[in-house]
Amino acid sequence: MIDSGRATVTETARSVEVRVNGTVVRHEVPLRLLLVDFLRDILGLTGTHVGCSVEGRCGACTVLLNGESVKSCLMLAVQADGQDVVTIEGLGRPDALHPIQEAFWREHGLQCGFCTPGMIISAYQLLKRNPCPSEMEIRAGLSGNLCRCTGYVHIVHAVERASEALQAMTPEERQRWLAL
Amino acid sequence: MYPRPIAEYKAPVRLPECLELLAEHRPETRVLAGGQSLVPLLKRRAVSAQTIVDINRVQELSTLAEGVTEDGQRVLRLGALTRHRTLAEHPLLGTRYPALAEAAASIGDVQVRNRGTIGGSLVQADPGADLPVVLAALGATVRLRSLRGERVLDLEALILDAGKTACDADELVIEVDVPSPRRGEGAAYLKHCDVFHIGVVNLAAFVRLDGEQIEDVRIVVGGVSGRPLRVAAAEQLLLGRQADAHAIAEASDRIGEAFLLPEDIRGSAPYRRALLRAGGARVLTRALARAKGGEQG
Repeated sequence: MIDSGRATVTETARSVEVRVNGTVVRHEVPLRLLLVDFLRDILGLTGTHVGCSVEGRCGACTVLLNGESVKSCLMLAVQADGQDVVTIEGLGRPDALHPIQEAFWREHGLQCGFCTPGMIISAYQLLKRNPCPSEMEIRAGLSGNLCRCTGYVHIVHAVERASEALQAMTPEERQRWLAL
Repeated sequence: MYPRPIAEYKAPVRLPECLELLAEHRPETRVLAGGQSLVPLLKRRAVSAQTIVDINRVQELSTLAEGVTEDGQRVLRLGALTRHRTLAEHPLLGTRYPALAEAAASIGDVQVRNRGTIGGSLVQADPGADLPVVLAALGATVRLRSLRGERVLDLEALILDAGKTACDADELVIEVDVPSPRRGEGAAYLKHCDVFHIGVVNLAAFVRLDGEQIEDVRIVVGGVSGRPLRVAAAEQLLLGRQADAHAIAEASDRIGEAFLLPEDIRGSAPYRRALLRAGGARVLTRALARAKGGEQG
């Protein structure tokens, strides 16, 4: 697209306060900064990925906003003011993986890993709303996340395994893992 | 890609403040609801925004309730900020407005449905969109408000062409009224997608039966033109007729033949014709089953 004859617009910045992975952060951000770029470039949380350019179709940027999965490349950072964001970094720790992360590891639910953070966040959303999904429900529930490597088969297995692991827990334990 | 620089961002919590901002007619003012259409447009730079009016915090735009309008019509009133996910999953819709729930469940994906709104979908007027087609079949009306006043439009008056609506720059879609179902009424929605889950054709049918006879019918097709289109030829064939398989088959043929169909990578014209015929039969069959079965809407 060619910028033709548009008056120069002063770039404006605004202060935002966002709870990210449980910690409140405060920053000045340009109004046009996308949430995904705020997370990656300003906060250094590079687990969330940018996999497509303008359409927002690939889902690699998926995070939780107030507990709901959203494509962070389709939001302005300023929209997150006063809101609660969870990224893949907030799901589990290397020494204490989330059951969904553990399942992706055990079922080899990734190859290059680029789609994986978004895929796991979407799997989290799915299992929170539908604890025992069928294969078709898993595939539909993850339809906002594209994978170019795996053909999705092991991803589906990973979600099934995560579902089983969560179901095998006591309700209290399960609730702790699904409290985001 | 990134949006062009934005000068102003407002996130009002009250509706009057939104309308005041729009009435200022500042250059390149864009209303931000779900953002699932607007943000891609900004990133692509198909659209610029100097001022963003983020309406997501306006509580009064999130109503969802059955009620009665000023002129005594029983309706389901949906605030413009009603999210697609809510339409897809709310038990009231699943039981009494299943065609609307079906259409909402067809939209995009989970993430898109978490954010996307009915108001946004209507003003975006994407020719392949789901909600405009089903809302047209259901006879829904849309309320627009500005500081100048209020007006109510049906879908045909609102959606003029691809990406083009009758909504003025200072107007906001505030709610959608869907007529509540009456006995003998049924409706259904169907979308056929390509491998990328992009709609190729979508159809909605509404029928009202008087005994076995079709007393009223609306058939709407999307994806064949810039806007949803009624299939008058099929409707006229069905009016006053016995609701049987023969009638459905004839009507479906008419649906297939009604339009000059596009040819593109999603399908040839003969393919689309076949989809419309088969899809037409399915939505009519389901709408009639709902009308007979007392399953509503």
